[in-house]
Amino acid sequence: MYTKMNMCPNAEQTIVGYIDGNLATADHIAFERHMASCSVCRTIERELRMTQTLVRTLSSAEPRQDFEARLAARIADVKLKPSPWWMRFALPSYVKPARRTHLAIPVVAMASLVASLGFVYVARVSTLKSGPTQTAAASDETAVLSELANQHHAASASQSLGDTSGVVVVASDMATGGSW
Amino acid sequence: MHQDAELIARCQRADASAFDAIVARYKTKIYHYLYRMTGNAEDADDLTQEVFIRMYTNIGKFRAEASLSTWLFRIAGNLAVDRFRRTKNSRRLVTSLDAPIQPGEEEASRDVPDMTMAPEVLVGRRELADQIESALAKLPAKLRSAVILFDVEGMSYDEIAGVEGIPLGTVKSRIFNARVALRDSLRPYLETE
Repeated sequence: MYTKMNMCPNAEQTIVGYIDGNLATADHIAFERHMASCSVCRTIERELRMTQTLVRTLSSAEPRQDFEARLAARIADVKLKPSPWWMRFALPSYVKPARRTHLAIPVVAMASLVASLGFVYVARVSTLKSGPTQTAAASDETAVLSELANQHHAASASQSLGDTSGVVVVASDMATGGSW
Repeated sequence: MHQDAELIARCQRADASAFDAIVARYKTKIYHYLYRMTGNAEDADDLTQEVFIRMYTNIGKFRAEASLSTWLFRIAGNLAVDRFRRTKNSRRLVTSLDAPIQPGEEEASRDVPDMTMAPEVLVGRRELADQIESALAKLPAKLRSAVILFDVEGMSYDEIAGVEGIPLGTVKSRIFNARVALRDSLRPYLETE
């Protein structure tokens, strides 16, 4: 009995190549010389060659006579049961139809979750982008109102108390759509 | 090889006779490989059919980066490993000689071979074949596949590397380790020589 510990270095692949006739001529000759002086490699080579011979004695196995007929029936069955379009996107074609239904539910659920998260993300990003614009618009609006208020105060200051002509002017301008 | 390329091209043009020709050409090889991988005729038959169904449904995507043979054996190997994983807890590939004989099971099928006979005398006998099949079934799937592809299917190291998607050195290593494990299981037959 030998173990890998007491095998010669690199003997593993060399022995396999030697038994299978896959060594280059020079390597083949060199290994034969080595085996002449190495009883471990000689024993391994002999035992593995005998093992290979035993394995090769296994007789060939043949499929049943009606193999083609049954295959044709199964292929016809595959043709008749096309997958739903969403399942074709969700799962590769090599997944068995019977397993597709079981796999499709978590896959579609995951896809929905990812889509939802994506939507939330996009909405959040667009909110952040539109934030400063809205603030600018609000400050513009405040500035206009402030200016109008100033104009109104200036106009009021130039008139005596109790005079409501300014209000009338404003109301008439508003009614005719005229400018301030 | 050229014939395979022509058959594939015809298959991709939906020529049913080309598909039938590929099935006729490869069904025995694939079945034999799967029979040795699974150790069971029923599984081998079912998986061989599955290989050709996969080929049928994916032939449009096949590009000539690998040979048809490599592609089919790769599908077969993946299916075998997948089946083995799913059934290893529910069914044992290897039957213990100590296990009680089930009703309907032939007692003779569990006979221990006469180990005093030389291997060449036992060759061809069912008992020895059973022992070799049991020894193969005990191997890890990767080692079993490598040794079956080389010693039973007659593939080259390069072809096995293509089927398994592994480097050449790994192919040799797996074949070596598989034979060492088989030798240990079949030692009684070796020591008599």
